[in-house]
Amino acid sequence: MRLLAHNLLACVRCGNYPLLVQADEMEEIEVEPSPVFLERMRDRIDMKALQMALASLEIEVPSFDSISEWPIELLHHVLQEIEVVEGALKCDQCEVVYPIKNRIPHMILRGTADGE
Amino acid sequence: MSRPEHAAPPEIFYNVDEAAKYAMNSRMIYIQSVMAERALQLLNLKDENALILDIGCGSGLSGEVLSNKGLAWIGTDISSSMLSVAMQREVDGDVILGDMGEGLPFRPGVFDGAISISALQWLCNADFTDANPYKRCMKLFTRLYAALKRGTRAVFQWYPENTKQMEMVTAAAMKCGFTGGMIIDYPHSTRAKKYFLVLFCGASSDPSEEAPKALGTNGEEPDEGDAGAEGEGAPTSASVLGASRRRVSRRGKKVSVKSREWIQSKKDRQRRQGKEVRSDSKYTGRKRKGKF
Repeated sequence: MRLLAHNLLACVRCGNYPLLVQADEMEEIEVEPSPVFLERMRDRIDMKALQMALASLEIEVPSFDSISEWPIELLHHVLQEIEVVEGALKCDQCEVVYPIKNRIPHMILRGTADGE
Repeated sequence: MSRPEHAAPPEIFYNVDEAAKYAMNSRMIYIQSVMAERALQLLNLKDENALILDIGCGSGLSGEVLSNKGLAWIGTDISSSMLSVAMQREVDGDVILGDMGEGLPFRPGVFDGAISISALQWLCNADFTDANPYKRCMKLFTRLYAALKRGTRAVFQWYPENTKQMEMVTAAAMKCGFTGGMIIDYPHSTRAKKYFLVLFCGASSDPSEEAPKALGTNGEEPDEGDAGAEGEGAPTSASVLGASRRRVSRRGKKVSVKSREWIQSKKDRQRRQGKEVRSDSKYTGRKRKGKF
């Protein structure tokens, strides 16, 4: 799960967001930048969620007052190139914990028969 | 045709073996891609730099179609085996394991459209106790309506089992605020016939926008060799919900029972079988008048 995806997520049960993110393993990947797409996403990004995620992943970025001041390169890096491999997401309202396994957040409430 | 959703719940059916098929079988890949292209066409995106939600993304075949068009996407699926295949294929979008019947895990107003290829029929089956297909549809559509930006669309290609299912699903979608309806491509063909549920999320910003058209309503078949398969067939207007439901016309007129033609063909058949049959006359098949 990359931070762009995290930024869009909300709790399945109560719809609360942002979800708290905790990482046991992280990876930096290289993704071709798409500035036009990111410009378009800029007003859709939830600042609070992004900053919270960066803080809990201990990634330091220069501070800006609003999302419009973020340079596009930095936005690209934090949203597209940082991936949580193993970890968990947690809703601080209803206390549901969603594990992240092999880069995939498991967001199913019912006990899955899929195993693992 | 056997229906896989009767065999097992999706997270069980799409196990490692089944997921491998979707990675290897070129015919499966081809069909999925063609349907994804058609769904994308029906989505009628105005902007190329859009973010699309793929519900039931599976191994990411439909996602690849989106990536090829330069679109960013996020996928959800209930089968972790299928998602593992997607990971191995290194798809461009992020994938999330989720049950669409529990609702979608997204905050409001983030997507420019949603597509779903061959997934919705799974929702119509009660696979575990206290599963209510209608309620699960409602949960999906409520969260989907919220997650989409206003004026966008969601296109579901699916395999409804009967009219009842179609009615249940569309009723749930309408109740959640969507407008739109079913589009049936190639309605006269058994093999190429495809059902699309096209949903509009709020009014479109463009008033000149036309209702989507179905393909192949004149009875032509799609061109199998053409991977694009775009803009084929003469379009007719789409059946919009609330308006009269389109009925698929039968091939050839059915001959009414006990008519002269019916008797004639029956006699011919029996003659061919070598049976003793009364000779034909002007009285054959004529109705008796009044008293005997």
